[in-house]
Amino acid sequence: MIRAGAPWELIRWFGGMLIYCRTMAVFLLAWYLAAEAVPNKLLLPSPLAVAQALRESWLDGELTANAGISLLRLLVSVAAAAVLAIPIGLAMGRSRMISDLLEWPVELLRPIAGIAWIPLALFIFGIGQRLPIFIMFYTAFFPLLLGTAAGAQSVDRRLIAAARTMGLSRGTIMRRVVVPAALPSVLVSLRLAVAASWTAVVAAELVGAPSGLGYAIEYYRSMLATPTVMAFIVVIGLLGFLTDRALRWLGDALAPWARTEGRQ
Amino acid sequence: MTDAEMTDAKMTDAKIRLSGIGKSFGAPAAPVVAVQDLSLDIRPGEFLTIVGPSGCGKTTVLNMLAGLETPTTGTMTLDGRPIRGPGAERGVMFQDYALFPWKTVRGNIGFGLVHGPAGAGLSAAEREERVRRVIELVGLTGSEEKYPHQLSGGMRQRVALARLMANEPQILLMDEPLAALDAQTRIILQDELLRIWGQDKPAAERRTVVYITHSIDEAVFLADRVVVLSSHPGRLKRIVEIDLPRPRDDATRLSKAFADLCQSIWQSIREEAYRATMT
Ligand SMILES: Nc1ncnc2c1ncn2[C@@H]1O[C@H](COP(=O)(O)OP(=O)(O)OP(=O)(O)O)[C@@H](O)[C@H]1O
Ligand SMILES: [Mg+2]
Repeated sequence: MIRAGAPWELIRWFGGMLIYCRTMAVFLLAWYLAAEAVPNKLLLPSPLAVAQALRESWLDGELTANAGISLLRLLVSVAAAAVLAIPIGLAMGRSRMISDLLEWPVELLRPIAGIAWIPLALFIFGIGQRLPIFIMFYTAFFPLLLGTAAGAQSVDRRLIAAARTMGLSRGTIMRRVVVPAALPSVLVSLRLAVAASWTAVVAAELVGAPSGLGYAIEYYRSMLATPTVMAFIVVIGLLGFLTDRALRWLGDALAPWARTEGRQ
Repeated sequence: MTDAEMTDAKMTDAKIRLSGIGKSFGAPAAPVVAVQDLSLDIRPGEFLTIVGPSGCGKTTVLNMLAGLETPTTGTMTLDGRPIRGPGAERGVMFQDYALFPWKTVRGNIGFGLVHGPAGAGLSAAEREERVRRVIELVGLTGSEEKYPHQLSGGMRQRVALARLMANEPQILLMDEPLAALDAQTRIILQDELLRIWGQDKPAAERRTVVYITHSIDEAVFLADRVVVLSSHPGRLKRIVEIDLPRPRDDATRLSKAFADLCQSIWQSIREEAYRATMT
């Protein structure tokens, strides 16, 4: 069945790409014309200059090095947030007592943007790896916690009832019913967490790290090399887009039932 | 025999005993009485069917037997011991199936065997074999790897039925298990159900079945006794002994005795059924 659909999938994909390319072309053209219109090249570099800068930092390895370190920080901080937030979220979702206990601290901390902690974190961690990782961890933690708690809380009661009538213990029900039932909403919150965390990386690296994409932007700004600044901004956007795509793919692979249910 | 000995004897006579069971929902100030003063002995190895108009409390009774709801009044015992919660010896097939959406047909059917006590002592191969057998029994061969959302309503119902059968519980609690199936499949599965229940075996080796249905002829065809409930609140209206000979088959369905029993039960619920439909 999937095989029979393949040519159509391909045609649809190709059609999608055409529309996508056209949109990009219009955007680049508008950018180019705007850059031509602005006399000061420092304010708005043309797409050609940015492409040139992109190529140069790619060739001397600077781009890959900085992108690599930022992505690594993203991975470490989101992984740490997930390891902590998912179990706590499950417990909050299934136990009234635990959710009552944690509700206030969570509600008070959640509205504070991760980057608001940068000044304080500078005192505590200084400039280095730990500051951006802490900020990104903080940013990723709350979406994951609340998404998991909501998912665990809204597990269909009948499914738990069915498992109970089959004689499953509480622990087994947690692992075999609550966790898989909550998985789709955990995966959605993971995407939100990664997106938020990726937004925070630049801010955190801008001031708090001697490396990474945010650091590179700040460095080239001080050198007045706006095409290179723009080039790194483009890379941030592109990587954010690609990680989201990868996570969406991961979600479809881990929870195939949710994919077809949600998109019919 | 003294009185006490009499009750003792009766105690052992009943597999499940309901005494003065009542269940209300909602605020104590304005309760919705779903079931009222229901007393009933379910005999070991008995096939008991329950009929009654929609909303009369059949599912509520089944949920209490399953241990998923606690009665507001009265007591319930299983083998003389109070029912305090669910247990693997009482398998349930839910009216709305309650299939696990993340499990395939095979995964759903094998769920209790893999994760619950039903599969204890079975090797992986034996479990697989049992799952394969019930899949074949309910006619789902070829759909093993599908997810519930990819199935038709009737197929889902058969998965739920197969999941219950795979666990082979001592007591089967079934809520309209064949309602979504076409007439032919229903008749085939009725025959299968009687076979699994043990209609060819001596009464002592049979499982105990509590079976809710909307269909009077299904209730009569399967049952040792039909319980008729009346609605608002759900109360015991009548218990009808079905003395049709076993094993039952197509000849039973065509017999005069069968038709008479159906007619008699229909008479006792028609008035209420009409009232339930009109309002
Ligand atoms: N959780 C609940 N909260 C409030 N009222 C309930 C609840 N469950 C059942 N009821 C009420 O109890 C009554 C009996 O419901 P029940 O589901 O047992 O009926 P039923 O005989 O199984 O009906 P059907 O044949 O349509 O399945 C109904 O009036 C229903 O509204
Ligand atoms: Mg019901």
